[in-house]
Amino acid sequence: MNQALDSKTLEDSLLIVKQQITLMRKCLESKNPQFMDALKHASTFLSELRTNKLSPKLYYELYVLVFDGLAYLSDFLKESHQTNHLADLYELVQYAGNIVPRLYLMITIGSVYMSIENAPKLEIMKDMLEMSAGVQDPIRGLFLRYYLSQKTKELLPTETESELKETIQFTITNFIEMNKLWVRLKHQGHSSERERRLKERKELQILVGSNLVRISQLDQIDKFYYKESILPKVLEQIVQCKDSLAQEYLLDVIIQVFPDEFHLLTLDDFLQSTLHLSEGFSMNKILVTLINRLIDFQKREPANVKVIISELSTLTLQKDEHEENHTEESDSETTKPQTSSNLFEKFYDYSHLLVENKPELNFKDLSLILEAICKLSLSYYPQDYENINKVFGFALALIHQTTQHLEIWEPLLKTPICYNFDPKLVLSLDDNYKQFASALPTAIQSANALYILEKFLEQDVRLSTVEEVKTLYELLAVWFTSEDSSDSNTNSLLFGTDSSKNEPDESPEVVSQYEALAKSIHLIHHTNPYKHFELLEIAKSFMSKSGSRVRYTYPTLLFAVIKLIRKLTIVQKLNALKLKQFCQFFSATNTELLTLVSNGTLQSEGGVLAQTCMNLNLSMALILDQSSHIDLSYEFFINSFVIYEESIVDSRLQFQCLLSIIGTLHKCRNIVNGNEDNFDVLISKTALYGSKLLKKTDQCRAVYLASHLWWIIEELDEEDEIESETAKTSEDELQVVIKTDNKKVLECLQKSLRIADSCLETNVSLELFVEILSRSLYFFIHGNELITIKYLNGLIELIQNSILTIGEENTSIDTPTKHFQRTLEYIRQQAQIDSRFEEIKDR
Amino acid sequence: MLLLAIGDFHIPDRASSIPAKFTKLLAPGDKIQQVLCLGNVCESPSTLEFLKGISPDFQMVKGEFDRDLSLPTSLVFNYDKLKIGLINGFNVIPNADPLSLLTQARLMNVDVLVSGGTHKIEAYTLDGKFFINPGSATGAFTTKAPSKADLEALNVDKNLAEDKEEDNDGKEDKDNKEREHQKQANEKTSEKPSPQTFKGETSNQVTPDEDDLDNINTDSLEQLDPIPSFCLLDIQGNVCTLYLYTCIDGDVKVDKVSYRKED
Amino acid sequence: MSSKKKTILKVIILGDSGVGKTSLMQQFVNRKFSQQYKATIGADFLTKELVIDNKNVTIQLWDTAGQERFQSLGVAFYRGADCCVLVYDVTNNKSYDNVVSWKDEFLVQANIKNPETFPFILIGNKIDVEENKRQINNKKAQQLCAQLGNIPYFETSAKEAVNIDQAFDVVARNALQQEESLDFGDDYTDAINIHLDGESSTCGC
Repeated sequence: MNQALDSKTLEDSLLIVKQQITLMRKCLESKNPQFMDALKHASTFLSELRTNKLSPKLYYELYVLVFDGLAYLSDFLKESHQTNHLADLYELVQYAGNIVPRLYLMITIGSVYMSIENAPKLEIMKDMLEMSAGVQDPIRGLFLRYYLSQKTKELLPTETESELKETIQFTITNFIEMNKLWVRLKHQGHSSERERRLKERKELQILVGSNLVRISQLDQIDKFYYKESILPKVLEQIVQCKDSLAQEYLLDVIIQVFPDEFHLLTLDDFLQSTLHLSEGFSMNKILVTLINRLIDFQKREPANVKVIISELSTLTLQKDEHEENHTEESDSETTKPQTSSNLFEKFYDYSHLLVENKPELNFKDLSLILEAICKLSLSYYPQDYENINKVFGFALALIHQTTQHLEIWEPLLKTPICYNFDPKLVLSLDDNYKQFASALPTAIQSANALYILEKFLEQDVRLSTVEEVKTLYELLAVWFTSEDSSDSNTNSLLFGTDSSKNEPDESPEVVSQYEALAKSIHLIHHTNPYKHFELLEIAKSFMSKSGSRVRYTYPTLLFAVIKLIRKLTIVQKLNALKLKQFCQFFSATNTELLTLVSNGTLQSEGGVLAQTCMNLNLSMALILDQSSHIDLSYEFFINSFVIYEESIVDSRLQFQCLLSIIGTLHKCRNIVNGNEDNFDVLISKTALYGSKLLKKTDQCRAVYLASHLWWIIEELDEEDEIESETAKTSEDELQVVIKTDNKKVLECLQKSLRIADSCLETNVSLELFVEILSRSLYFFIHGNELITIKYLNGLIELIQNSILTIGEENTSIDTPTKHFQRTLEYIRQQAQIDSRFEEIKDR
Repeated sequence: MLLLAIGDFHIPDRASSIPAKFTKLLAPGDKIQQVLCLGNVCESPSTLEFLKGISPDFQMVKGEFDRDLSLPTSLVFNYDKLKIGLINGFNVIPNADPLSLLTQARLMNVDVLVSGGTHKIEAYTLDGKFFINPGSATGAFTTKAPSKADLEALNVDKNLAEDKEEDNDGKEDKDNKEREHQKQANEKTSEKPSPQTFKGETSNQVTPDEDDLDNINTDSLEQLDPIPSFCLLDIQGNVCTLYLYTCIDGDVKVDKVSYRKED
Repeated sequence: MSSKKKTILKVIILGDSGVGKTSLMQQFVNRKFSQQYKATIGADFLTKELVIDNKNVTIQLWDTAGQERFQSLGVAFYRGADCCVLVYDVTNNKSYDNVVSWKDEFLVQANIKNPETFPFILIGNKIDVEENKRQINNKKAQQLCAQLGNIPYFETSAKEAVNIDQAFDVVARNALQQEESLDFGDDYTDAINIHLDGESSTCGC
């Protein structure tokens, strides 16, 4: 309602002003200008500015229109000043009835007068400034003085030093007066309107600030002049006005409108003055603004910054020498002597002063200030870790004083990581950082740890020294603190005391933490695999403290070892003694994982983890076979079998594991050649496991698949073909025969057929028969002499008879029947390529 | 219909992440209608989440390193005129053997069989069926022995003069040469890899002295790591157009092959 | 014409903080360039006398604060503008992206009667930078101009005084055209008729 009323008032006023401007222009632009009439119209529309019904924003709209209108008057006066003697006119308007129109007219004429050669500029300025004091209503006064400043801005004399001085004096005085008006508005009207007045004051703030803009536009002012003659006066006013809104805003303006190098030179003065500001002043806002501006400067013009800083340090030295003589008298109680041109130190020392002098400052503000200082250092002195250590040392001291709202410190904690493009910085920090981190709530520590780690992973930061690996994991310490015991009985101890912690259903946070932790192992890197291994050992010493959660990290660790062995094999630097160490490390780690399974803490998850353990073992066995360490390889196969026997309980897993065993054994080369007896032990055992599986179908399949273990033929890669031909490794086909035992293959197939036949469900038997037929065809194609046409025909007959027995129309055998037909179709197709197939009977 | 075939991530066990270029290409959208995951995601919820974001129709078979027992070991999908089978590969014996895969395809009654395990992207047609291996999305380490050709490529890269000489040598005394060469390799600190150890000549097993172990640099071996890859299948009627994506030194390359099912 | 009618052209310069609005103005009016960065608070103007086709005009260039917190009194000074200059920094994508919203904001706040015909000019500043730092090429800028209604486009360097006069010449001409089309007779006729019945004698024409 109030607003509606306001805008109605505004519209009425705007209409009047528009009409009067039109009339005024007609008077001015006619062939015989009627100047006095024009003045009258101007005076009429200026009277609208006397209103006290408008909020500053709406008043400003009116002001803008008036301003544009008066521009016509100014222009007319400028054109015709010979006919209208400006000095007389200036006097004449003093007799206008109302003070607001009078002063606007006076300034309009006065400013034109100023623009004329040989005009008594300084006197006019002084006079206008003094007269402006006649309007003491804050809003009207502020706009009037704003008008004064706008109209004179391009006319202020700066030719001589004294002129410049006057101009500055003029502007600063106007600034001080405007600031007073602005602060006074706070105390006007009823206290219930406080809120509204605050809003109004905020709207008006740019009028006050415009004076500082004006000064900043005077190019004659250099940084030294600014330091000596401008800033002290402005700061004095800011401090004295004791109004936090004004203080906050005006300091912000100073930071924004004056150039960066001015700030660098006057940093001490600026910071000192802030110590005397009133309570309620938001210290952190100003400091953060200032620091951000300096950081931007560094980013924008790094070369320039360098020059200015070195210039500053020379100045500082001179000053120190100069002050040397006065040291005895100088009061060093509150003001620390300016001993350094180091920006960081200035701010850092200042942060201490703040704490001493401003006890009302809360921790939130302090944390923000320290965060900004930290950023500043990272920007200006990216290599100076000592600075960051100092900040965290200070933060640590502060945080010890409180136990509340510790979460406010989180942004500071993250600053070294988030702000520095090189994540490794964090590894160079001293204990302060770690201690500071550990003083914060676990959740924050944990989030920070993840944050650090993700940065490292994102940028693929390699860790190649013991120090680096250790330090990184120390920073992640919060994840390893569930146990402090480091003896080998960790697990039993853990599970005895705290089993609830190890429920397999972990929170998603924990799972993602440990996924990241496992990935961190890929960051560990050394060109020398033996050194690399030492780093892995260190990593493990940390990982091992995470209880049952080692299941997330150990497999990665173990693969890292496998990879090292591969590398050493290729470069032929695999030392037997060292390899033993690798193997021991591998076995011990894998055993720890298995312990988690065997003591049952992981429940259903355990079985699958056992599968992983077994597969890890198989991978190790295969890698060792490739490196020709066939005895060690054999050991790892045997270990795999032990795991299979003892820890794989679920029948599905048993089948899967058996497939993995067969697949891996089938890839072995050296153990077959080097110690065939051992190999035979392994493959016979495997086939035996197959025949002992729980389900007949699994048994049957495992056995017929195991047959491949007696039939190992290496198909050479295409790229190898040419090479191998010249090397005469094989005459006709591009194959290397590793092991072929016709009889054993046949035995396996026969055995699987017996198992299939013993299935109670005929449709299942039938399907298995077809599968065995397919498998037999495989060996037939490969030239196993015992898999004869006769044998194949026998199988086909068996299948056909079974189908007849069950009855073709029995839908339960649809699937195997079709599979059979597909197989026969395949045989027919092959017959066209391979004449041997022609003898296979089809229907 | 566009399908994504992807697998063998081994995160975090053997690799940290899918290449950034890939994740960009596979950003969530409605282009890909189905994700066929070949397993071995391992223990990485973040990867699973990423995959599920690519398409709501997410299908996965279990690899030997997946720790979720409830996953199936094989899946079959019927599209318009094509049947596609999905299997990890550890359950095909011998692993990745074409004839075994053919047998498997016949068993599953599919025209296209997608399988993994080798970490080597490839696609071929055999006896009228189409076989796709999208390789490893992360270029994860594989225990399969590196091929002789790969090892020799490593040598060429190093530009060892002596190797070039060897190439020109007669075939007769090749074995002798190699042994000799190996000796040299041990005496110097050169890292001449020898494919021999992979050929099963156990008598040649080498055990260098401990003091010989300080100056080893294996950085050049990184190039033996598998190349990250995946496949997109565009199914139109009885035609499957396959796009093979690889990421080599940070650059994504795409190859295309087509398969038409004969009636 | 013997009329003493004086032409004042009001031009508003808009664009993100840091694109160089103040520098463009300083270069045009005072032939100065300062490397120092000073933020603009509120609105500030500079005037320059120009002769366009034998006509004396005063051009009043309004520089504005790119940062909202320094615009606490609102943007009433947009009112009565004869031309609006939209500025972006060719090394800053974001400033280019924001051009459209600056234009929209201007049209709303300035209460323009015929937005379709109101003259806008687009300026891409800072072309003095190395080519590799440039994020917006000429083609892209031309597209934007087409999209904004085929407005004139200039690439300038306030630092090296490239294209400044050319740009502001077009600004001034378009502003003048606009000013003449909306001569005060048009604008305030209604108001005059209501209040000045029978007073036409005071009018000199």
